[in-house]
Amino acid sequence: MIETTTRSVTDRSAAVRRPTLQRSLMLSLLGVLAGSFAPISAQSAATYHLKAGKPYAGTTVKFLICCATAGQFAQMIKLTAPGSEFEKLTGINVQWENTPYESLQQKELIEATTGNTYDAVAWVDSWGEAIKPYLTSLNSRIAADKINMKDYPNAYIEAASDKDGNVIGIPFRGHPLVLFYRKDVFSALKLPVPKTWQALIKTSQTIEQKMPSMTGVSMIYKVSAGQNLFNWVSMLWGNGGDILDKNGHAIFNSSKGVEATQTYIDILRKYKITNPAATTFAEPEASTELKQGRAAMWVGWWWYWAQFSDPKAVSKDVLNNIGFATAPGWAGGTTANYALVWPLGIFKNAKNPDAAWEFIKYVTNTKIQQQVAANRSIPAEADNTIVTFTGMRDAKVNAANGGIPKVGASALKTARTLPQVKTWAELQSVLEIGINKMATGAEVKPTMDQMAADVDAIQKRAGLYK
Amino acid sequence: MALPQPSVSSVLVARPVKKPRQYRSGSLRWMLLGPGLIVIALTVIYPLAASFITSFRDWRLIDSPTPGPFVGAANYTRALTDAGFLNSLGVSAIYMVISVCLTLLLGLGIALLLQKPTPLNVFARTLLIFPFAVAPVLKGFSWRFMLNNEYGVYAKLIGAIIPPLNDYVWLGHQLSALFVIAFSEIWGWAPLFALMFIGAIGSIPAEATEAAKVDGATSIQIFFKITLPLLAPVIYIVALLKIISAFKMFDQIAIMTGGGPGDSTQTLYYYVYQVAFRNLDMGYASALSYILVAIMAVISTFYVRTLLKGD
Repeated sequence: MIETTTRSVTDRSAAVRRPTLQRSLMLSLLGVLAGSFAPISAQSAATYHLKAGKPYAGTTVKFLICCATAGQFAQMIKLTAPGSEFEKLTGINVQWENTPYESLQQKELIEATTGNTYDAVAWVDSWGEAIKPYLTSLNSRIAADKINMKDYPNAYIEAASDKDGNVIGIPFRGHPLVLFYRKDVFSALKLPVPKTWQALIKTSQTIEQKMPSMTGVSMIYKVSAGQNLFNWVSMLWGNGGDILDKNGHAIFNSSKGVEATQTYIDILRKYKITNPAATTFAEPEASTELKQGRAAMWVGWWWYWAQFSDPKAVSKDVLNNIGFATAPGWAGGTTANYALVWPLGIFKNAKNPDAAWEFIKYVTNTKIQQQVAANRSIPAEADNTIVTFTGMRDAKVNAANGGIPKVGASALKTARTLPQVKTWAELQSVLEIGINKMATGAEVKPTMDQMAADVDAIQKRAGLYK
Repeated sequence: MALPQPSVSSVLVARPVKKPRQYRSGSLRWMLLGPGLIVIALTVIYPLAASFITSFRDWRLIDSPTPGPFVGAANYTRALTDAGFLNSLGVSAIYMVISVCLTLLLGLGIALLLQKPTPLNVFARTLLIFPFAVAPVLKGFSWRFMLNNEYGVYAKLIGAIIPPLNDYVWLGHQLSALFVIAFSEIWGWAPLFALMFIGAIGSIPAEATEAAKVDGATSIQIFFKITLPLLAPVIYIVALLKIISAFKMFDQIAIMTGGGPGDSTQTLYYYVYQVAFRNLDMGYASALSYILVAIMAVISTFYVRTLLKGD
């Protein structure tokens, strides 16, 4: 009885399965045909400067990186996965090692010095100096494959080069700072978009007078992975100051530096045009001020644009009301904002450096970057990030991202990178704590002098000078 | 008919008491203990020994993947002049005083309120354990949220009761930030201490307090002359426990302030973490860790001795 029932059920399911099986076979055939003709016929290995003939077929490239949920990375993972166009063109398998951001720098250092597990690596600009000696120069490869390095912003190239000028990384993901502002507020008050920090202060004061429920600008002063330095360095550089001189001595406490820092602190303490709680704000809190309609402006990374245009992420009055412009410069000075970049390089002890180079060429290729930046089909993976000027000026990319890539390109022309010194982690700690102390009441000049003394002590201990 | 009674000697002969099997050789014991000892050696003793040796070496991960040369006690002497370390020592000490005193006072207060076994009190005692069960990281996030000057429930409540404190940025000022972090910890520990004190109060002989009442002592006199002295050993033990816990403060610092404003909430643990995993200065971080271990060892010795003596 049980046997009969089982058989009848099996027969029924087989009957049901048969047309499904046929349909699946047909779909598979269509898929194979589509797969064979669509991407491959459209793109060949040469399109991406890849070597023809799949010389590295069967090789597995291990890639050390973090943050797989970042839209750009999430899309890139798919583009290099088994069965992807990259795999079909090269026969190379890519393993993305998604390491938590907090432990990535340490893991990279250990891998660079003692390991040989990974071939390719992505790093944040300010970490670079510590691992650059363990990365291979890409000069000859760049020349052989005719990679146009002039298409990248100088700030990115500087961060991706060693002291001797050798390029040891290709920019992979990068961000300029842009000024986000409330279009409706600026329109109602007939305000021009500020181009300098001084104009931004005046604009903020006007907004707070006319709209007391809103703060003029959202700022970051909290001690949190150096985030309170982003706008500070823009003011410092814009006013002609700098963090270190060529010999590594602290010079940010020069008169220009003190003036810029005083302005940075006065936004909170004197002009009171930002939330008084900004002393406890890191990037998430500062951006939330704009997202929830409590601030009229914020200077932040351009990738936030995707969030400001997401109905789930912002309040109703903010949605589709966020404009953007290049981040402000210094009145009577220059515009030189910080640009953050993740270069992509090859470890000297990599087992598969040639295959890793193929992978790097593919994911940093402008066409691939354009494809990713223009693809907003999955909201969670939408990401306007793109690293080449050609890509940033591409019509399709700009149409998909409201024109922010063009603005980013403009900002990146004059952008700078952080000092490329191996002690940066320690220096950053001194600087961000000092900034926070001043924001919470300490006098600017004496605090900066103490910070400079602390920075010099670190540099001296590291043997950077006697 | 009387039944024959077995003699004591016959019972002993008939049912000899089996002695536990004696293992003259210790080999089995070592075989059983061996795996555990190996695990302890690998996971505790080796890292301790290795970090102790590292504390005498110059090892910055940004310079070298392997420990550098021996530098004698340089890492330890550096700590004596390191403003960051001395600051964190001071912060930890202040935090410890605030945290321990307030936890004891609050715990004792709750215990006195709930000492009578009424149904409501018994129910309330059950609820007391919940704050202690909350993970420190979660406490950090919750308190940071609740103290937000714009929408935090605690911030709004305090602002409604004391209007000048409306919109006060609790985590943005040095002293209040440290107090708030202490409170996020007291919130969990005070109820636990209250439960311990309730147990201890329950063990105080009723005759003592009744006799004092007969002699005309007031409730305050009874508390200070009888209850508190008899609770002293328990207070001493829980205070030591809280001191150890206060020195270990890390999670809420990382979540709520990141050591700020400035470096005013940078405790010892947080500073060591900063030196080791941000600055990647492993030699110095190892030395700082051993200074921390020395401080903790002194406190722990007091604690263990007190427990063993049962005072």
